[in-house]
Amino acid sequence: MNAENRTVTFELLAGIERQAGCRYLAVQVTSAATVGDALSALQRAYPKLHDAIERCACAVGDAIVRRQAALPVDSPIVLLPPVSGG
Amino acid sequence: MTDCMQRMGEAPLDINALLALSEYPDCGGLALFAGAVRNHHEGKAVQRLIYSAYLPVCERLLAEIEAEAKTKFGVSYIAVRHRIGELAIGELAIVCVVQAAHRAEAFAACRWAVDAVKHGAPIWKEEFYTDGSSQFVDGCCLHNHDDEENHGDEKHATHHHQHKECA
Repeated sequence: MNAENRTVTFELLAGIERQAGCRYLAVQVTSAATVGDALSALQRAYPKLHDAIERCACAVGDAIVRRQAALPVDSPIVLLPPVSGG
Repeated sequence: MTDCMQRMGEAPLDINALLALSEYPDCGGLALFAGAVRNHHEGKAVQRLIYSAYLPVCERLLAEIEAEAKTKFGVSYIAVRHRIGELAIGELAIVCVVQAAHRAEAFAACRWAVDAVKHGAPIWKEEFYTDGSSQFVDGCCLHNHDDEENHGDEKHATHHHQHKECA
């Protein structure tokens, strides 16, 4: 919500976890206000994941959040790639 | 909104336990869908698969789908369950049971609920093939740029989009 410097942690699941080779990634953001801002920072930091990140929905806790949602204070942003249940 | 019942788990799905046949004497129609693991995908021979899920959203969503199906179709009972973990060919991945006064609303609610789970629940299928390879099956995007611009309230259970992996 403001211009403070902080770390945002992402939890990667399924295909994007496999592609990244790790479950968690963190980025430093300086002026990120929204989930979308943090996603853009993640894409800049990990350009190989750019397109996979684009296709992900985001969740915080038990809620799907939009790109415009405010950054969560303490929780990681969970990246949900395209689903294939059922 | 969300109860404490677990609708996702690693235990094999038990259809009989979900039928609730004697509990709804006002219901004359019972619809059942059971989705099992297929031994083929796009021409490749599938040996087994692993379902993984983001459970916090899945549990809430499945409870909401059950509740919405009841009000939307006026059915008396619905149970939707999805299995996670490693499954062999022929094992059940998803079961949906609906009881209603008549068959029409039972069929309709059952189909709608299964579609809602397939399109909206963060569940992923990793297939392992007989040639030793494996892959996460490409599926339905939960993230939709158009929805972000236009919708006041995201309703994954009812959205419409194009995708190939929803047979």
